[in-house]
Amino acid sequence: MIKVSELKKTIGKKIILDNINLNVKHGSICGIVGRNGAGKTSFLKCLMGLWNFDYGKIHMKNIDVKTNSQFKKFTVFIPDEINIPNNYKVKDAEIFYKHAFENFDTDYFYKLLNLYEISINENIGNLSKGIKLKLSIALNISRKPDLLILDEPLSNLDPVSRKELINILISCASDKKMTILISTHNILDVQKFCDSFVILDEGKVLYSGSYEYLKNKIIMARCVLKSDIPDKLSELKGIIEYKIMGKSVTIVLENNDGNLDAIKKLSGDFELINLDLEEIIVYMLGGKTLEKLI
Amino acid sequence: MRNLFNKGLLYKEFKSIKLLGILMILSIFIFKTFQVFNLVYDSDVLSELTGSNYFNKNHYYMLNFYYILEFDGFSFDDHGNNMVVFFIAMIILTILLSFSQMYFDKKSRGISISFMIPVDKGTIMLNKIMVSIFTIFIVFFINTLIIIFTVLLNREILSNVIIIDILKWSLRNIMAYSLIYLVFMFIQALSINIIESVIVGFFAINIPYIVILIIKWLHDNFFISTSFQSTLETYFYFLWPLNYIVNDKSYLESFNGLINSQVYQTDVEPFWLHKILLMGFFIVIVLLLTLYFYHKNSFENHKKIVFKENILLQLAMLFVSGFGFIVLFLRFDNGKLDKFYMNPILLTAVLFATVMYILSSKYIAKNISKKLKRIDK
Repeated sequence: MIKVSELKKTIGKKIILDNINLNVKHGSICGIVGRNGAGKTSFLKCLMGLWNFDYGKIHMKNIDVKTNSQFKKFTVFIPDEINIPNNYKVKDAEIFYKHAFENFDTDYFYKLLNLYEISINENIGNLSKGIKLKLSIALNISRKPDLLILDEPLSNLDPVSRKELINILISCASDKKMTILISTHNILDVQKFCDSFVILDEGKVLYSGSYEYLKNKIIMARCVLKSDIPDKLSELKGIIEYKIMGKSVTIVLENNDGNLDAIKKLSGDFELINLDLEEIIVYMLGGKTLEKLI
Repeated sequence: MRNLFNKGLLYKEFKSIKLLGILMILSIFIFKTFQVFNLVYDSDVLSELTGSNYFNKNHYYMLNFYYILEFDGFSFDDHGNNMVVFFIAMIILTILLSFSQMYFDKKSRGISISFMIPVDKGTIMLNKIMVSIFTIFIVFFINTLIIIFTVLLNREILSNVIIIDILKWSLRNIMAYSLIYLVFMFIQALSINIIESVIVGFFAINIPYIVILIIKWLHDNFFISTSFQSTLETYFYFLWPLNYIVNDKSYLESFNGLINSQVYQTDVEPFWLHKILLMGFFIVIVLLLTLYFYHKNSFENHKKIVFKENILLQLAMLFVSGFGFIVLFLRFDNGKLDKFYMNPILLTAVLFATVMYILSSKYIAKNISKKLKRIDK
């Protein structure tokens, strides 16, 4: 569905996106995770053809986004700041969408409005951020797109609305076979509903793949402290962090060939502890030792 | 054609300029109705004008800006018409048309809804431009209807020539206001903030007049022959939109109260179709440039920042705004330019323009750093 290869983007002398490669399969939900300034929004803008990029290719359903704007017929982008003018009424937005987009389904839009309890005569400027987002989603889903791209939609929502939105996205992917690309800070949400995710940091892809795969790549082991462990640990490759607490030592490490065996030799026995995605990402971004994984 | 226009875009653009369009129509309706009715039913004016050739040749001046010939300062004339206020209002409304269409697309990090439509940036711009030019057309169409209607009421001045001249005058005005609109769109497609757009845009529309000044200066001091100067001047006057609006009388001249100046009269008088073709050509060039820059650069803050770093562009803008100030502060001596390059007032004006430009550049630099911070976020 989406194929990005060797994407590079600079602003002045600053590299915003550096050698991004990505494949998103049809019908899947892909999350883009990263710190502020990691390049998430820039990446999405490049995807939508809103920003030019210096090098690389972006194809959506085999359409080159740089040269052909027709990919917007089946692609919807919902930015972090809702882009419907505040002086519009909901009715005006509907008229605009009806005229601007061929596939806009008015009946379905009214169904969604009823579901979200939004009045057609409501002034958009008077709506709260959460309701505006719901309206934007209603308008855009009514276009019956194949690809839905959302830029940090979950950040301004209360827990109930967030859950509602996640359910909508899951039903879009499962029932309507939409492909969804969503950028977020909320890693736990991604863990819950994304099939795969991308970790961006300083414009580079730190990881691209599934949580399950990553879970086996970064592990935490707890073992009994022996006097020479700290010295020998520092000699091992792929150790991200270790903490000594009383008579035990907790080690976070890359699950490379031989690492666990080496620890076993050092301590005799150890216990593996499951890390959640947030912890894994914090270790990855803090340590930045995992470029080899990509 | 189907690919060039998008109904949704047209709807959005009409909505964004709805209020301004109504204001334009209202202002032309109010001013023109008062002016034309006063003129047609004022027996003194009519008897004076209908008995002379002057009226036959210049009736469209009379119908539109006749009173400006007698204008001296910002006072209302005997007939209650203040056309200077009217055309300044129309120019401001035209400039606002371009700002209102660009404002939402440029005001924030937010991405305009226009860019979600499966059309390219050039088409988005074209739809904006078409809506505004259509609005300007409607305004002058209404204006023409008012004039024709009032002329029809008075058989003394009714003739085919008058009707044709009124139509010609309207077409000239549509083209002039369209050009002003396009120049401002063009400047906005390049520039970062509204203040800079206003300063540079205002003077950009005076570029043909600046060229005329340079030609005059070359003629007075160097090698250019009088006939060559006269021909060039004439053609550049036809490229100067404000010249059309004030019917070949400089509004700047009016500012200075220098009514008797003859500097605008030239020996060469091209065929009127020729003038319109020339103006049309100029409009097409500006339109193409606008579309190109919009397509290429706009809505990428960083691109504009890089663009602004280009020292050549800075110098070009300084040149344009500096000469613009020269135009504003220009003094004439008995209708002839008084070696403007030596004039202390003009030198002061250039200095003033430079200071203004440096100040505005500082303001722009602040904006750039703000935008860089936003990008960093």
